[in-house]
Amino acid sequence: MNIQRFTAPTARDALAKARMAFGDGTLILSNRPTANGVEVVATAEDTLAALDQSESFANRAKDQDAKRPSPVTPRRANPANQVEDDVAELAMSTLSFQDYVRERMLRRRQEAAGNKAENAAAPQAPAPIAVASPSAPRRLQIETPVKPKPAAPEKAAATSASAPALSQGIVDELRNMKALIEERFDTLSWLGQARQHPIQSNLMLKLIRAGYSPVLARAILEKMPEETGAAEAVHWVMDVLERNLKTDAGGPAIHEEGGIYALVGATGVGKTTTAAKLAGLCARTHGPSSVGLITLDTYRVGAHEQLRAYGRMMGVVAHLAHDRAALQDLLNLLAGKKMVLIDTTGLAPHDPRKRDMLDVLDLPMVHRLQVLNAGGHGDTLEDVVSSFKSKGVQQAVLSKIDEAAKLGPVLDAAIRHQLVLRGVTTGQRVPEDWETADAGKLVRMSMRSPVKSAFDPKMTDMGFFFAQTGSAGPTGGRLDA
Amino acid sequence: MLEACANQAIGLQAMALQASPRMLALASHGEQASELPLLWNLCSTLADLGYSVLVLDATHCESAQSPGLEQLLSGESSGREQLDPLVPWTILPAAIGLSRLCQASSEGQPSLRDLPGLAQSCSVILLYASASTLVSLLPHSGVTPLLAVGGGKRALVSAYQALKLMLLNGGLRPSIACMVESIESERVESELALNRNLQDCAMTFLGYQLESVSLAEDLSDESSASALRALALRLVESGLPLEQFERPIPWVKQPSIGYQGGSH
Repeated sequence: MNIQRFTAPTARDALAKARMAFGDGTLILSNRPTANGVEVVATAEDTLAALDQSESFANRAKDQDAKRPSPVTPRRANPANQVEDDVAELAMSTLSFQDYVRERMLRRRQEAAGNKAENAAAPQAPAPIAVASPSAPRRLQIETPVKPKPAAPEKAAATSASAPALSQGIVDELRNMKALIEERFDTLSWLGQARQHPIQSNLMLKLIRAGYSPVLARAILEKMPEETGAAEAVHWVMDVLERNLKTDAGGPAIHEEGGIYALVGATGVGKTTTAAKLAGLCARTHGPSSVGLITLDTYRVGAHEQLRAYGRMMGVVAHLAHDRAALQDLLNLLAGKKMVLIDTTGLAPHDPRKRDMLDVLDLPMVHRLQVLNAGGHGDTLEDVVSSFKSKGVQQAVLSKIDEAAKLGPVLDAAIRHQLVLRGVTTGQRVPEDWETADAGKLVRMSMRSPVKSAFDPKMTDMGFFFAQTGSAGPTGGRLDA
Repeated sequence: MLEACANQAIGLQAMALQASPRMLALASHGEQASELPLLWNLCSTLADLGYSVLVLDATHCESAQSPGLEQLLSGESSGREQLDPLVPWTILPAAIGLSRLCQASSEGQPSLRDLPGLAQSCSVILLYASASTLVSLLPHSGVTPLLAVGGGKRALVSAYQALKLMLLNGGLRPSIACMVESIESERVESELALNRNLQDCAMTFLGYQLESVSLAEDLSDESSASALRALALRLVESGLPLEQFERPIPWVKQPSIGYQGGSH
């Protein structure tokens, strides 16, 4: 029986030596780490064939515990008969994963030592960058505005060609001016009437102080019955606001209903935290296996890590999708989940990447859930809601309710854009600071008298709220100090 | 407010939703040249993703020199002996220990879900075993074993054999990882063509749509690392929670399977 011992610095080298000695039919009997590397004991396959198989098994069994069960054998299912004929038992491999890891770590250390040696030798070599730099001083790049070259012959042609367009422009401008004058007169007339009705005037001031837009305030107050008392008028207004603020109060909560939701919105509004809250609530009721988490946010540093950290706490895997195809694949993988939440990159409303991101989300069954910062400015919210609008029912979550000084702007945007509120977040705690959206409660919160603020208008300022500011551009007025 | 232990997710942690370790599987078909690098990359990626990984290497038997699952089961070893301080995962030879667990399971005794403390404290258990072992341990469990396939026709045949065994005998639905030296390598096209053959064979003879992903052994470029991260997360997603081990998901045979028998 020809058995030989081979030693080498790595297992791979030792195996190579054994193969050189015994050829392709090399059989490794044992391998173990030694002080100088790895020792392998090997023989030829032919040697083993000569041995009685049962005897060798008995010899091996001597070394093992007598009660040790026999190696795993496949269960014989019905189709097994077909498979057994053509599937041979796969032989045990020769290099264990432990050896492989040892070898790889050894190689890594050797490489690191080599690099260190190279770095130590490096100062002797001339540094080309250091030499080149002084001789080539960096030139300061100044971008100058490019003056358009006069295109005299073309200009004449363009003038003649744009003549009809110019006259059309004048017509449009005149039409706009007419509309503006009409609206101004209409507003002045309405303000005059409102001044004669102190209840309306006070309510108007109250709504505007609460952060509601003049447009919505006027639309509501125009419809108020004339003979309404002061207290009744306030209730009437709040009732109208409550009726027009759509929520999911009639149906199941979002985490009970489930579905695939993509959380979209501007930067820093709390999309990831909201996703974690919803995931936590769903996991608490239906178990961690009921939730799927995906992030499309490859832009913000640490976005995936943040979602993964929440996922780890719940036992939910947080996946990352780079594109539409990957998202589709992941949605197929998570098809059995009750709720799948897709976190997205926060984008400004006019960010050119927004279109691409919304295209990625344009998949059947994916509902967009706008996350709106409840403390946002009215104009900003208007911009965000308009820009993330989708087809069908618009759903939204109001975040940071606890931080908002005024809820009027966000409720105003929700009413005018007919958003269905699916919940509100009331703090940072995950998942406790989540509440279902209650229209009455939100409206009451918005109408509570806030602390006096420098931004609050006075009764005498009301006219300015209805004045058209668009006609007075930046060059149209002067600030006198 | 500034308590050292308080954080915004303390309520989430208090829910104790932490799932039990998930069992993933890498099927061995004797192609170590592809399997071991894949196993290494998978382990390092999972560790980078924050998972604590335990590799149960069922392709190697435990011994006195390298104690493994058997010693862990008998209490002779804690299993916490580090292979290398720089390797952030644990590897245990497990051929004998797993066969013992497998036999205990068939006799109605506690099985894999009762793995000792070390395994329970991990978030991912990666089972590296032959197809027949996986069929015995995880039949109809919903686990999607991964098959590493390198270049070469011989590897393709053994991969097909392993695939067929797992699919028909174990109700396991494997996917393949096509291992290439580097995505830019000239041999990539021929290797991918061979893997397409494997997919075609799986579809033609087994009626099984085999999912495939191409991976480079060298993860220095971001696309390879990203592909491996996605694969690792998918494997964890489809991994079997250890607590569900005795309640395997029933596997429904696909109606499209047109297997006619015979050797392919």
